[in-house]
Amino acid sequence: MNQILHIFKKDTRRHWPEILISLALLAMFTRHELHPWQNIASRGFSSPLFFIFDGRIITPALVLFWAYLTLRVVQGESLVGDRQWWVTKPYEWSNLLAAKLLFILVFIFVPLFHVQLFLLQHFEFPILPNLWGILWMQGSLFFVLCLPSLLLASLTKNLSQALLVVLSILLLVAGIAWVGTKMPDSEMEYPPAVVEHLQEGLILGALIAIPVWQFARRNRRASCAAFLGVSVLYVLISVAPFGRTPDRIYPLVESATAPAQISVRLPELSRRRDLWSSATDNVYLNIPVNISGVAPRTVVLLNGINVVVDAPQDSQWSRGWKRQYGEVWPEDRQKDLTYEVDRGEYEKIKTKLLHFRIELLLTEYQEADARNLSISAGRFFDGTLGICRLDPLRNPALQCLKPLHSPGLMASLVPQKNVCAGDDEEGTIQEDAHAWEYPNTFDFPDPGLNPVTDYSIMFGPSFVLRDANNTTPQKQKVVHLCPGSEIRLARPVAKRQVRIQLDLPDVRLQDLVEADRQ
Amino acid sequence: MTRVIHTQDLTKKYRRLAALDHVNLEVQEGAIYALVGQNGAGKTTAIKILMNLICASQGSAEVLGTDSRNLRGKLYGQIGYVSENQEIPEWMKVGALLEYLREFYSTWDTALEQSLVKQFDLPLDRKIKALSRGMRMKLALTGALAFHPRIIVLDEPFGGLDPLVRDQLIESLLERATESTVFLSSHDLAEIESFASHVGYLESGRLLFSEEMSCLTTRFCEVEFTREVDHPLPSPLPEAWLQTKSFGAMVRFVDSRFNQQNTAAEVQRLFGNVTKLQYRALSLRAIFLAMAKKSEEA
Repeated sequence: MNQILHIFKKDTRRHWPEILISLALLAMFTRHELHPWQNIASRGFSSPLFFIFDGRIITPALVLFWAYLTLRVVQGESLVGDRQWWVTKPYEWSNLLAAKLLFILVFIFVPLFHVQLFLLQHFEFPILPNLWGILWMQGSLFFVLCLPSLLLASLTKNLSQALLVVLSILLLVAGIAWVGTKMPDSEMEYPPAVVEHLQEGLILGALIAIPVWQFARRNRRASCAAFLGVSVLYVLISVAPFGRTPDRIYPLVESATAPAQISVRLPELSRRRDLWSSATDNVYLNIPVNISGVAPRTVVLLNGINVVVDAPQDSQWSRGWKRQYGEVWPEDRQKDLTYEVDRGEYEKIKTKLLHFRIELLLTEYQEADARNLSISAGRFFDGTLGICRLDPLRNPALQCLKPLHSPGLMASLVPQKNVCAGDDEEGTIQEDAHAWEYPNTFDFPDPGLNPVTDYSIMFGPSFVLRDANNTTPQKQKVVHLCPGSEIRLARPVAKRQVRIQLDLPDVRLQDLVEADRQ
Repeated sequence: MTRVIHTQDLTKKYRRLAALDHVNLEVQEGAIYALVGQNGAGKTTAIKILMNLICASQGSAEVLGTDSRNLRGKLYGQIGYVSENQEIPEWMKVGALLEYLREFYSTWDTALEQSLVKQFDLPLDRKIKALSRGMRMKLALTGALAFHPRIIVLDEPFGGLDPLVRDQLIESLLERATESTVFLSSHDLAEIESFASHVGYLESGRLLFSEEMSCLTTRFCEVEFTREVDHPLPSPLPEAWLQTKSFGAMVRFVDSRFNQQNTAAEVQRLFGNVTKLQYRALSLRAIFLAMAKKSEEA
């Protein structure tokens, strides 16, 4: 213990300027997080130093500085090379490692812990029920920031070497990601849980074992070989055909029994040209669909899409499953689906009449524990939402603060009880508006440093069916929230996941692309 | 006598190049052992393996009875290691470094530390980065001597130092020699000769000899004589004769296995009656040069 404290004291003496900078950045972070709404409201883009004053740069700067501090303190007794004076001194490697961890704990985690408790207390959230969440956040930060920094520091001699390694890894990851985009079906493959656990175990094991080994043996060659071995194994597992395609997870159902009846609507002639689309390597198919049959108190999420085309010469092509984002509420009548294809493949067959088969992945959620909430003027507290207020800039929206993570919710405006000044415009269509927040299945805290999550509940209007023959411009009612408005709040409960198929015979591919419609 | 350093077929290869080639070395307790050799002979490599700074490719090394691969932690508390290439923390002040080191050694002798600081005239409040090379070496030596190590290992400690500093370092080493074994590498032969008790000679990774200094200076001797007639040198000459040269009737060589009776008999056998037969003791430098030239000729 004496040796640990002795090394710790030496490191503290050496790195006091960096410690002060770290604490100053943490103070700036705290100050910024104390006024989450004020910052948004007072945005001004005219200043060249906007991003500094806005405060959004503080969190990344703080995290990067902590990574730098970890590198510096570990490299103070460099584990690489054979010229360091300390390696022939009676250091116990375990004491050295413990001293470095103590430094990280004392100057990164303890101040952050205090700030996190302070923020909870400032917003009048109870500390004890949220303590596990804060500890989880600290553990996550240690796993995501400190362990990789420790690994990097233990394998490099100085800061420039470390930066070079980081740059190389970033380039490698970018390369792998680029290759991934060229592989069909890669976007929505779900590995089995055991494979996911294996990958997590590999990463965690490597992040812990390699620095410990390096402290114990200072054998960079063996440590680097282990790191490369684990990386290669991880990549091999990632690309191995363990993945379950979505059609195995989402069972195919008949259209009639689907949670929403969806049919493809033939696209209208384009009235605008998309100047950007022709400049990219990919082409985005735009597939308008009509929707009906979503049960009341239900929302259907669009999770994924796959387009299979019967191409000439009796062949088929598809770019595989792509993610799709969107909610379908009971009042929704139309949506636009998008699907990305390679420009080269598109150009070959864009003018031919083809048969399309569109597959959609849907998840149905139903309301549970529904209740009405009356919006108060100013700040108000709700057990589910946390501390909220009407968003002064974006209406209809609520800004809320809640410990650890935003709640999963289905929210709807109650039109009859929502009469605010300016809502009754002549000729408008009465619309419903809904908001959706994904349920947090495991109750994990959101990633970040602040235990008080700042989130918005934004009510989007439903999309009604436009009448193509009606030339009269249709007004959409602008719905507002105001003090006294009522919203319906419910907890979303996943009911089922299904896959449906839609047929679209005799369509030219170019008719689905805004820029190329004729 | 206990052996404090022992190597068995110690080999270190960098790809195909053998920096050390089956080196067998033994250093007894209390010795002042000088490992000499030209630049690149493998002296630093040998010391780094002994100090567990690098791994051997083959063979074994023991320091204080411990396999050098297991040398870590507390075991370093008995070893004072100084190298000319050591990276000392430059941000520290001299006094702070000594104070920091003090806590690591249970045998640290503060009085000895102060005495060495005084002897070396070390500026305690100066940052290490502002010290000269000589001062840094003095500081490193102070840190390596103040805890009464059982063995002091020095890698080229005198390189680039002025004569005054060298004398100071040697003086302080000799003062410690009564309680410690000293193992050092150097190509500064003149200095080594004045205090080393044992010497080992490394040539291209091979240990050509390793013996007591007194034996070495007895074994190597320059022999000179004059023949009656100026004939070419007979062939073959004994292997132990190095740098054999004739200058008219006069012949001179270095006998690396000198024994006055045997050498005289051998001269008689090869050259018949000779006159002015003289024997001259060689300096370590002359022995070193004779061995180096022999290697070059080979």
